[in-house]
Amino acid sequence: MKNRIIVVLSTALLWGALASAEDCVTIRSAQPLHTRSGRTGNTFSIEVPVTSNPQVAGTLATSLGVSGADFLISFDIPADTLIQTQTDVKQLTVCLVVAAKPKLLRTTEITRSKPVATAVPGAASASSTGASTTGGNAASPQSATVGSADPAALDLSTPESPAFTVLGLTPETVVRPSSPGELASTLINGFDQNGNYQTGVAIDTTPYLLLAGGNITLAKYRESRMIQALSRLQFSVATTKGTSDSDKAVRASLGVRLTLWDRGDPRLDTELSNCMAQSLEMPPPLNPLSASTNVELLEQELELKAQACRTASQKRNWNKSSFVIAGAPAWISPDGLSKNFRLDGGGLWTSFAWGFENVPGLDRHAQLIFHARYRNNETVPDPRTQGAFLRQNSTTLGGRFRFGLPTLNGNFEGVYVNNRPTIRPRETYTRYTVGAEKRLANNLWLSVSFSRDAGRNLGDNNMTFFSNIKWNFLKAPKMQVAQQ
Amino acid sequence: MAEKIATLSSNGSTPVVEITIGKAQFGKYELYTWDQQGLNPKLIGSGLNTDQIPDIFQIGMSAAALEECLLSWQCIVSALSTGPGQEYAVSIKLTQDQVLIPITVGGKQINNPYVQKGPLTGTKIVHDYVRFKVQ
Repeated sequence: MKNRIIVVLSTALLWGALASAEDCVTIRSAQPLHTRSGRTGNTFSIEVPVTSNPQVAGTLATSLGVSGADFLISFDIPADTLIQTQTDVKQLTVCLVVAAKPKLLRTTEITRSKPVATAVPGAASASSTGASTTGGNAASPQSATVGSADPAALDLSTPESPAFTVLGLTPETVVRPSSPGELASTLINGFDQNGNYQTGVAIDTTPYLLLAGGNITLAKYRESRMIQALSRLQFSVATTKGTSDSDKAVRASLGVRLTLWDRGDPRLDTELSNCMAQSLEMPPPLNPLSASTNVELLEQELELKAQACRTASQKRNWNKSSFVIAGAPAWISPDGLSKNFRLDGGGLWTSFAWGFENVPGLDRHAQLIFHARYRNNETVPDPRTQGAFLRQNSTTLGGRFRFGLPTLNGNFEGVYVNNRPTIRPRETYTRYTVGAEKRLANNLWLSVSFSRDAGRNLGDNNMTFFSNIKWNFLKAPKMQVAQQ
Repeated sequence: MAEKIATLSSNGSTPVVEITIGKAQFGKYELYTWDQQGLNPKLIGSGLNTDQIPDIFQIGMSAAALEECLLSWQCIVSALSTGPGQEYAVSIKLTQDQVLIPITVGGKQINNPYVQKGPLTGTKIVHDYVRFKVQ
């Protein structure tokens, strides 16, 4: 049986930590290590197998006073707690998420915890029920210190899916323009702009880069506006289901969106590529006939440096100016049956964002977005007859002011809406919205907004709350840079 | 896994290698030749995919002298965006006298340019090699 060092943070300690204001706990090491992590019941474990880390086995054994051991760190955690880990070659960060709000382990000196030479059955397995973990990455108790760290890996909230936009399921009416990712999915649960609860999913892709990007070097991309435009051409498909009594409809949409101009495009950020060129040092020649070099470890070391470059780039670019046009046809089945799907008109819209470039004080922290949208032949619930629908054309003009940081930003929005229903008098009203976006974890965003309409003659002028969890998957967890 | 064999003409001139790091990701590379035993690496080219300098290099040895020698490439490819679904693609094109050199694996011909591609999570080292045979 393997000997293991176990460090247990008690539940009491954990709950005490949950009330703290820290984000995560980070275990740092001077030596790169491979780890395995997993969760069994209420125990979350991180194992450092010596067999996978022969280069530091001696150092570990000396430091911890054991020999031939595997090292295991485990935490007792509440059953309903989700654990997320971010690992890199020299450190491991553990964050707790309770009720969609990041909660946090206390900064702790591991050496102050008494090591116990025993094994935890089932712990440190590769499985991770209820946990989001990274595998094969690194953590080490070797330096025997644990410090809190702010996750420095930034990822901007994804742009609204055009297919969601035409279905009225973006939290803000004014759509933010920016370059899309190559392949992303968005889950949504919340109230639509008519006040009906909707659940839905959207998949977005940029087919040009996916299918024809093999020969597009970064230099070619930067040379050609046509390549840039094609690479940012985004297609999306979305479907939603209403769950309220007044709206049980299933809706679907195919969206297309073209970002014509984006000063925040990371591919155009020469400072970013220069940073990578300087900091990503080529390893010595990899012998093609020998597998003596641990390429995975080299990649992890390089990724730390690359992530630092990306983080700096995102801080520079999150609010840069951009311009997008988009359109999408929509379909609806009012009763939710697939046989009753029919065309539900479509929408066209455009957004222009100004990043206050060269305006001191605002150029890093604010963005002003102008938006115009036309939606025709849309089936919407009749506000005067529950369960009935009517068709309408609508025009929306508005603006949004965003401010804050890449990981937390607020916004004010004001829009003018002109609805022209077929069987009701037309209505013109204004909507004011206050909202915020918070990055909960890498590629996981919480968006909330409160809006109030003024001047409606068909619907109520009630205040509406809209919440939205944006989660990009199809991507392995990414590593983070330590905040020393 | 069987080696990739690039078959040169003994009467031809020195082969030329072109490397392309695509998908508009950041890329940095080095190309090496090795002797028959996989020793004594010699750098024949290096560069970035962000500049205007052609990523094309003459291997610098006669075809006959390359018998059983190896050509290896190693690239650092890093995603510029943190968004999901990033991909990488590295292609190696080998020519001799402006004609594509046949490349085989286990006697079966494979594509030239030879392409390595896949999902890109963060930063990846892409590396591989071919062994030259002269006919």
